[in-house]
Amino acid sequence: MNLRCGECGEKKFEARNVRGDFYTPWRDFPRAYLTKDLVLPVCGNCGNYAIVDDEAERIDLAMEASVRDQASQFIDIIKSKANINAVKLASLLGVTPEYLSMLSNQKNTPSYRIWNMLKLVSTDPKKLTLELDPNWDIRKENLLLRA
Amino acid sequence: MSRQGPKFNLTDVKRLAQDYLDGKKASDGRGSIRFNAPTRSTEVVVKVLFCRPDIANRLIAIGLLALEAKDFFSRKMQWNEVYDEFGLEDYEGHNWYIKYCIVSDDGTEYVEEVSFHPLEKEMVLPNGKTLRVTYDPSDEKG
Repeated sequence: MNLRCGECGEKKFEARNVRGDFYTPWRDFPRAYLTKDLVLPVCGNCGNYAIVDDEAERIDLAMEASVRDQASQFIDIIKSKANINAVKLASLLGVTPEYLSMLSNQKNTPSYRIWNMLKLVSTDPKKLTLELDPNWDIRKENLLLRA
Repeated sequence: MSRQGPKFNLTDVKRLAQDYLDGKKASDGRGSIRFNAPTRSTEVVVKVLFCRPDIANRLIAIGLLALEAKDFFSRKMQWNEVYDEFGLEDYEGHNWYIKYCIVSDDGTEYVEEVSFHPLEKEMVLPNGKTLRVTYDPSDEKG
C-alpha cells in the first residue's frame, strides 16, 4: 500500500493484528479496549493505523464483540465472587434481570455507564452492596479514611 | 503560499466524497476517502458525536460535501505534499478544522483525509470570517 502515514509521513503501512494493543473511542466509550482479532494497516514506522476500505466497519464489529465479551466476563466474576444470583445482581445494578441475562449471554451491548460499573464492581463486589446500603455512612467512612 | 486558493478542485473532492457515501470504490478496490490519521479524524468525530467509526467516516464525507470556496483557510506544505486546509462552520454543532489532499496514484484517485476535528484554536479565514472554538475537550467523559 502506497498510503502516506498521517502521523509520520512515511509510506510503511503493513497488515497487523492489533488485538490487545488497540484502544479507541467507540460509541459512548471514551476509550474501548480491543480483545478480539482485528487486522488493520499499521504504520511500520510509528504504529499509527489507517482506514482505507472497510476497516471502520470491522473496528466497530470487533469493538462490539470485545465490549460484550468483557461485560459477560465481569458479570461472571461478580456472581462468582459475591455469591449472588442474577436477579439480585440486576436489582443492585438497577437493570432488569432480562437485560442482565442478555449482557451475560453477549446478546446486547452495555452502555459505557453499565460496562464501567461492572468493571469496577468485578474488582471488589462488596462495593456494590455497600454503596447501595441506606445505612452506609459515607461521611463517617470518609472521616475514618482521613484519620 | 498560505494565501493562494485551494490546490484541489472542490468539485473533485465532492465527487470522491459522494463516491464514498455511495460505496463506490477507487480503481484499486479501496475507498475513495482514506483516513491516514484516524486519531485526528475518525476517532475525534466518534468522541465528539458518540457514534460508531463507520458513521463518523460518513459524517466526514458529508462534511466534505458541505465545503464551499468561502471555507478555504490555507494551503499547507507537509512531507513535500501540498494539503488544503478549511474551516467548516457550524457542522453538527461545531466548527471544524479540515486538512486533506487528493492523491492520484497509478490511475487511482482518492482523498487522503488527514484531519477532521473541531477547531482547537480560533481560525480567521482569508475572507475575514472568524471561526471560534466550539468544543472543549475537558468536557469529555472518562
